[in-house]
Amino acid sequence: MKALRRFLLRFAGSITRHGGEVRLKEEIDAHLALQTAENIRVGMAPEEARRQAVLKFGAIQVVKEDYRDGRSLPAFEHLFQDIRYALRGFRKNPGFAFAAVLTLALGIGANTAMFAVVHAVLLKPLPFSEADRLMLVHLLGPDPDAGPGVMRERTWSYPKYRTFLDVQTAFDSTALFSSRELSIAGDGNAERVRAEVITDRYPGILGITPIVGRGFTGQESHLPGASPVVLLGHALWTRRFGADPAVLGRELQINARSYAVIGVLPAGFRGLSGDAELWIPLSVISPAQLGEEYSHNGYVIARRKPEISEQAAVAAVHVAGTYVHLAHPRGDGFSANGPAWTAQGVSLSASRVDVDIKQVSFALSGAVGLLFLITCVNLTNLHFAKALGRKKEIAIRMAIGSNRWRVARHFLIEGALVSVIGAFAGLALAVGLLEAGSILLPRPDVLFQAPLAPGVPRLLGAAGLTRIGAAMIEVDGIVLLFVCAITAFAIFAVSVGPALHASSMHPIEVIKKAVSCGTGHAVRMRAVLVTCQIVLATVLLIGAGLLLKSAARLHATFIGVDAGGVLTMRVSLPGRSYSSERGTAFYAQLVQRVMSLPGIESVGLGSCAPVSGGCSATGIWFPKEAPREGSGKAIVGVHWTTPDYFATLGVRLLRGRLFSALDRAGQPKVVVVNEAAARAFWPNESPVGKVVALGQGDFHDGAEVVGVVANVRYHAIEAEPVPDVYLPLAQSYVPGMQVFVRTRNQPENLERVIRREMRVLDPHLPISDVRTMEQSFGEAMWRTRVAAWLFSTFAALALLLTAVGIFGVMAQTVSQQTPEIGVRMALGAQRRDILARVLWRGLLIATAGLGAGAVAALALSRLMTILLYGVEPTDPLTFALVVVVMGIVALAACYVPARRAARVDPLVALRY
Amino acid sequence: MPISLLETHMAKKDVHQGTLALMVLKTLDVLGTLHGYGIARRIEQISGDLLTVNQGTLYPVLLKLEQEGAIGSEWGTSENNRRARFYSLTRAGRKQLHAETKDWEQTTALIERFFALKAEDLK
Repeated sequence: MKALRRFLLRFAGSITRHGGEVRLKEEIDAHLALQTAENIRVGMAPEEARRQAVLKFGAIQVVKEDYRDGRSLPAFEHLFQDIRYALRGFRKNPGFAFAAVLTLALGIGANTAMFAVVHAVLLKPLPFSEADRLMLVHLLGPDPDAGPGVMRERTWSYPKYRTFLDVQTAFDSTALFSSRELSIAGDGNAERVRAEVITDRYPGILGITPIVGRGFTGQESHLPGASPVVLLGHALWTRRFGADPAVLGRELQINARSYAVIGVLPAGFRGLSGDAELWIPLSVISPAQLGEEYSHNGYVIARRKPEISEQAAVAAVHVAGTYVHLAHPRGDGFSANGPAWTAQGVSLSASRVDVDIKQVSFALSGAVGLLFLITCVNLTNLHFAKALGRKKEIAIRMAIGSNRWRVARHFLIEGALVSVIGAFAGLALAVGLLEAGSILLPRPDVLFQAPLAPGVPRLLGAAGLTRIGAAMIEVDGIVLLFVCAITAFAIFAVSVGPALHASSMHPIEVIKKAVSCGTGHAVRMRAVLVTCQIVLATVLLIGAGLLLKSAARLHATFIGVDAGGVLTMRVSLPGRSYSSERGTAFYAQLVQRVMSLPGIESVGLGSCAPVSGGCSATGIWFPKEAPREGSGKAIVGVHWTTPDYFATLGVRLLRGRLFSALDRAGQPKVVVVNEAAARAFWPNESPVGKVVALGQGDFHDGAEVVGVVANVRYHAIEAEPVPDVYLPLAQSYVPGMQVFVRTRNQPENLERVIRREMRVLDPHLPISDVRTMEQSFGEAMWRTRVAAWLFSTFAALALLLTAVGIFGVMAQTVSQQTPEIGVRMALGAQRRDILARVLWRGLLIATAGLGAGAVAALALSRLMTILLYGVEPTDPLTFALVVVVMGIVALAACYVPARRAARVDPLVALRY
Repeated sequence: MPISLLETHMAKKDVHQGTLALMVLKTLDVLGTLHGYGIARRIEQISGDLLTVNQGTLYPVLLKLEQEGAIGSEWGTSENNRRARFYSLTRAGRKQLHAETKDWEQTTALIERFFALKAEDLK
């Protein structure tokens, strides 16, 4: 307590310096006056009395110094002195300070931005109350695609969920939810919005209560025939109703049916799918599903009882899942002796991000971390060189009594100052980067939800949770803490080397030698640092090379369609107002009207756009042939199209014929298959004329294959084409279609006129996802492109920093060896020999660094396998190219100092 | 043997500062409010020839005691009508004095017994 009180007073004294000294002076004066008076009283002459008083007082200066030290904190004041000194140094040499701060700002900024993203998406607690008790419960069923015995997480049907609800014991409450797109109209424009279809407990489980109105009741969400009600998201409420609290009871047209608004959920809440704006009870929007045992499309979210551990809950879910299987024994991939279905509980936090996205995040974090290390090494090198340049000054300071700690501290403070300024600049940069990212990216989660490498099993529910995470990206306390941590690391990296070196110096030696530049030891140390830099830069360059090659491969991949000049948009006909006849007629009219617009080459409709993912798939079998070998039925992608679809997208016909206007309802059913299907099902014969039956589109009874077309990549550019079957829309109606329009003009200009035509046909019909095919290909390549750009930027910076490092070391070596070179030349060495000697030394450093770098890259590049497309992580060409580029850069960086060495005039070198 | 505080200033500052501080506290305890000169004179009188205090060394000690809260100070007028700083013991200072006095007595008693000890007493 006493000590603390004293410390605080002294701290305050350090800041307000002067008052105390005035007081001491006055006290001393009073003291001396009293003593003088006393002396006079005992009989001394005034002069003598004063003199004796002063003598008795002792050395006034010493007292003052003691007093001053006691009043304030000397260490603290020295610190201020050092800071002032360092700042003066920066002012004198602003270029150096600027370069140092800039490099650090880049390093810290990039790392901070990356950390903010990774933190929000992977680590930060989800924004629900007691999120650690939330679990997703999935059904676990056999996956015939993946092979016998392989189980896959699956969604729920309502009856299965009810069975589960009856037998489960681990959870306080559970809810069923699924995500879908709906059309809304009334009081404003028609639009498509994302919505969640839920049961009543859903908001409560997540700790969300409506800010206006109430939530759903059990009756509303579990019993068929309930009156239609809807909960609004905050954004939608603001957008369509002007945040009017009197919204309760107002009507909203959803899929052409009137819903009463009963409540508004709080701002920022977008459901577990991360993009919902509306919530509708399951029993209202699809009452039929309440009875469909095998219609799986819901997720289950559950809140664990506080006294039940996660493991216990997982075990209980497994048992409950077995009951569910007993109650509903049939299902997809069912076979009498196949594995039983069960259920699996996964904590919400474990479902956040798919494995491949995690790897992408870590690969990019690793890259940006490497860049930071290179930055630090470079700064260490710069500061080291600076310390060497000031050797004499330091030696003199030490010779006249400065202690080693004080000298070392000087460098620490200089490093700290640069680092802290750099950290602030870096933080500003990170904020700017995140801000720019949120403006430039269409959706914050686009990097995390692009179609990823094929064959990687998706985590159910991860897409939504990732979206929630992406919405939480911000610079918060944890991110600031991270900045502090890496700044501390930077301070250490930047100043420790020079501080140790300078403080272990022997002043006498230095002054005696009067060499202005470094010793052999110091040059060796710098060479080691540069070698490290080359290692790190090589790793980054190889990563960037592999990604660039992937991006090029991706770009060159033919997805099976000719995208130029094609505009596409999505149209969904609401089931209530469009029967299949009316819908079919609508589509025919639509094609006709658009076709009559000027500049249109062709118009086609298809149920699914290329490289969009999420197309329908169904089982295929062959009624006229003997059962085939292999377990289960084969799965094919299924697409509904109009006859002109193939021409519009430029899909080539390989055999047989395409659909024609004659293939309509009432006529014999026909299909077209793609090359992959032809090869998979009829490897040695022509598919034309064969009969296939499909699990969807009312094609169970078989249809004739009339043609074979080229493969189109529907899932992702990276994904190999799968067997696909095309059905004529005229023979099998689906309500949602993608319109493709090929034009001779700019496709962007078409949107307005097409919208006008659609409004004539149906003014309430919403149109969504309007974009050119080129745009959607760009989006499909987005992830690989961004990764390649980021990596390349990092690698280019690394290359630059490394070149600067090599140049610095070689220049220093040369200037230190100038006398030696002079002697050599005086003794007859040729300029060529000198040049070769310096270059040889540079080459030595470069070779060591490149070798180690290539080995490290070999070990590390495996981690980014998932980001690569068509390139092995050990691609020899990339490795060779990087080694050559790095070698050339290293030699170029050596060449300038080497030239200077070769130009040394022996007379000048020896004289000075 | 006279001890000069200034001479030993570098080597044993803490010990002597501590001793001097105790003397200051005791002086203020006995005489009440006093200015720096008064304290110096008093210590001189009591210690006689044994202690030649360089009066100036007193002031850093006073500062430290004040920072620790053992004494307080305020401006007042001295005997010869000059402005002078007057020091007085605070409650915390009185407590500290009691504690340290006790401590000191125990230590001296202990040391005395050791010095009184003769070789034969151990047999």
